Amino acid sequence: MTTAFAPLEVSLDSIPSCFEGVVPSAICTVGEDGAPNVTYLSIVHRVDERHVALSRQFFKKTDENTQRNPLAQVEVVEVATGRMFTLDLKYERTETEGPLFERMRTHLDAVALHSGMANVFALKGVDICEVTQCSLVPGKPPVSGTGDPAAPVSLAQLEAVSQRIAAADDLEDLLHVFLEACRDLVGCEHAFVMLADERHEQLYTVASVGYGDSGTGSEIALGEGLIGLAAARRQSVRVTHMTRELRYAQATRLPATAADEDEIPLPALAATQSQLVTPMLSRHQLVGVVVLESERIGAFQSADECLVGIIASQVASAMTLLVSSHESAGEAEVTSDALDAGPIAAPVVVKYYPEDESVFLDNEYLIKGVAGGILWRLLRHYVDEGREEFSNRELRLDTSLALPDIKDNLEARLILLRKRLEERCDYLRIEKVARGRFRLDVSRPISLVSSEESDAASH
Amino acid sequence: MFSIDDELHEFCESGVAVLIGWVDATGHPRVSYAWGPRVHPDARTVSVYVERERCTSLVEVAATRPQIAVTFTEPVSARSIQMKGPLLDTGEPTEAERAWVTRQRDAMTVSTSLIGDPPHIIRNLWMDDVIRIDFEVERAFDQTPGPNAGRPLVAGGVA
Repeated sequence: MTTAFAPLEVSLDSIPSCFEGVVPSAICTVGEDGAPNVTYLSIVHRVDERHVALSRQFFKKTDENTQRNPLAQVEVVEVATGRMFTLDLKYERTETEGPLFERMRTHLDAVALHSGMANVFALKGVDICEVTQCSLVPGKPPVSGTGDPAAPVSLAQLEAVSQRIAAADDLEDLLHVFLEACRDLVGCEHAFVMLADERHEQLYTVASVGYGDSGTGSEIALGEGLIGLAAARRQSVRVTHMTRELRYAQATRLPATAADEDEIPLPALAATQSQLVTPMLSRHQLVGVVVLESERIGAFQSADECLVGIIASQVASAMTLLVSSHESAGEAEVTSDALDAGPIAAPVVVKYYPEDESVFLDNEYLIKGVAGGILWRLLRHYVDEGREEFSNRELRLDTSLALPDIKDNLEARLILLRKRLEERCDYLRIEKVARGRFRLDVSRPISLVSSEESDAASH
Repeated sequence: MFSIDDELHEFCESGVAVLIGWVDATGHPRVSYAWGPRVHPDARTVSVYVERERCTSLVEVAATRPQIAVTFTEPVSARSIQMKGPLLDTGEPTEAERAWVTRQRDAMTVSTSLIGDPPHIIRNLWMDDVIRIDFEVERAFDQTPGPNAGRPLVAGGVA
């Protein structure tokens, strides 16, 4: 029940960064014996102009106190200015389910997973409190000129991005527009897109911008780590102070940094402080995620999360439409051009392992999975028949590739394959020649070795 | 009566972040930052320093020796200890005490900068005009996030 209180001295709307968790908030409650209890809170979430939600994890005494005495005071810090505000609260209820609870639970679970503390950090509930007063705490003049929120994005800017999304000719163009929008509208210089595989078991990186190593082809399981959990729960996760959150989670295990021979590391900054992971959903189906990163604390605010969510949905829908329109493309006759002149360099040994469809070039890992299978078939056709041009359609009809019924990832696999080839060698290229058609450019002799064949030969 | 042992004494004076909580004359809980914790030789009394302008409601009730709560948190490890007990006295800090507060604030700024907090923002959190709050530690609790949060401490023994 909300009581009629006087207007707040400071409106919650006017201090959004106080609810970003960049600087931890303090809370004081009163016990049955009249003694105060004071501690830090991991999340103070603004619900509306007169309510906040407090995460309930470990604070036994705070929980007991608010059940018996509903009054509390929270102190929050506006990170851009150093100004502090007190919020006088009156406990109303505890929620243990619903959208707000799920949203806060996903955030805490994601950070816990990231730090290896998955079973310790369970959110028990979310306390909804009425804000009876919000006051500026006396202090020094506010700091200015550092970390001030960027100017809000105008509808005209958003419309321009929407038009570019609608006009994108193919998936690669669409992803380029997407990452450019993250840069232009959110000011994010480091971002990558991971798409869900056909079985919704893995995410794989298909495009990135702003990283030393692109991470193209890197994978993560749905539900694994912060990114995987955001995807599995179809919930955005925004971390504003990674170091503090990981410390808070008593970090004992960071994500593996040493990749196996056939694992590609995710795109990564040296010291990520802010991360925003937004699912890309089309008709409630997970298409992928976009990950925005920054080495600056508090880089992504609530408004950025909304904005990226809108754009991600548009991109996801556009991807679905692109697939439909490409279904009919690429049906023109595919040429079987023989090579005019054979390559003259030393042959490259392309080794293929059917069990995971991994491909190695001169014993260097290149790619695995569906993309690896595609490359092997293309090279087979190239070596056996001298063919250089292919169509998406014939790949989809190639039963030996065992592509799932869901076809929307074929183009993404080709982009992935093309980028990996560009990064790993200079003698194999995939070039788009028309809608739904591409050419395999080979400038060295190829020697194909399948582990299946070599095993058979050795027996 | 709780007794602060050497390890806890060292922790309290290692540049930790400090919060103080009290209940004002109208029964409302109040919270503020505090600075420069100092453990007295009796191992039971602790002084902290608070901004005069921010803690008028604490000073107002000081004569009633109200219960206060003070939480000490090491920013890097997130180790956190809460002490509770009656406020004993308030007073004007000496020059030496002011210098102590400055050193402790500087140490805390170094700790917070290690986890990425901008020092200029942290420095903006405090004011120069402080008063001393002395309190007696009757109870102490482990406040570190995790399943043991809220566990009473028995460091130094409980009488």
